[in-house]
Amino acid sequence: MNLEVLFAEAEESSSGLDLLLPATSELVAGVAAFAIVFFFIWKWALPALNTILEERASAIEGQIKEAESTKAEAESTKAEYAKLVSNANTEVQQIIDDGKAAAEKVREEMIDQARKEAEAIVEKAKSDSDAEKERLSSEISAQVADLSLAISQKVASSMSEEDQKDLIKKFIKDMESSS
Amino acid sequence: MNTESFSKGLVEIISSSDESAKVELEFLQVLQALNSNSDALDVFRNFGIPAELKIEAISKIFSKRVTSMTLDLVTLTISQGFADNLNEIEQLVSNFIAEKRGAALAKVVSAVSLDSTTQNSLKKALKTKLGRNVELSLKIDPDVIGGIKVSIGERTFDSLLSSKFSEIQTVLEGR
Repeated sequence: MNLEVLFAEAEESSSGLDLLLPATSELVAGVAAFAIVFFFIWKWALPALNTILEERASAIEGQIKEAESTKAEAESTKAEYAKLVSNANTEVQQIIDDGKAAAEKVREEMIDQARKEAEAIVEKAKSDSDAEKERLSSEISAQVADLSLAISQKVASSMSEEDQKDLIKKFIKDMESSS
Repeated sequence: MNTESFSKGLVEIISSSDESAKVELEFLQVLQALNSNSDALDVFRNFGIPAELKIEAISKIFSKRVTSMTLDLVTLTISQGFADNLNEIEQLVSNFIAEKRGAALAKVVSAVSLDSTTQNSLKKALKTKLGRNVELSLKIDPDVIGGIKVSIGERTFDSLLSSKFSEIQTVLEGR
């Protein structure tokens, strides 16, 4: 019952559009307030915001440039590294080649040394053999000499006194004939 | 006084003796006997033994075998410190005596003794070869095996079998 009363009073007081639009005084006050707020925003807030945005953009741009620079440096470093690696490979190869050459030289020297030692051993063996032959020859000669001497002395020792005197007489006779 | 001067002095003493021939013979025989005895030489060369003891020993050994003059000459030689030079003194005395008689001394080494006939033949042969009289100093050494060696001054005539064997041995070993 109450609700029906209220609806009826509303229908009697205003139309529909009036219900949507504010009152004129409210509208003026609202516009003025908006203008004041807009003014403040336009005058101070917007520049400050623009400054912040510009700084931010500048910072980002700087970071981008820095990143590009870093990237360029990285690429340069990479290139250098690649070059170093390449050089290192070359040096390693050189070292390997040098090592092979040195090893080959050492091998040849060792072979040469071994050959010389072998020749020296053969020469020494030959020399020892010759010396041994010489020694044996001398020893045999000495033994033959000793044996001959021993036999001769044995024979001579058995000479009679008469034979001894004959030897002396022959000596005297030879001396007389040579005078 | 050196050995040569001492030997000349000995020869003068021997020559002045009435029995010079006998003293000469005895003296040289004593020296030869001492030289051939290494034990005797060791005693006479030993400085630790007093000269008096050496002379006493000489007297005991030779007093009844040789004349007093010969014994005096031997003791004089020992007491004067020539015990180390007995061989040299024997050679020098022999040489000086031979020279005194106008002859050369020939040192003869053989394995057997030489009879007087052989000695005279040798003297004659040497005189013919050298043109002067020769006196013989005889030495018998069985080690020479056979033959004879005669040394006069610097000259040597060697027909010893031991020398010939040595030469043969040298030649054989030198091959």
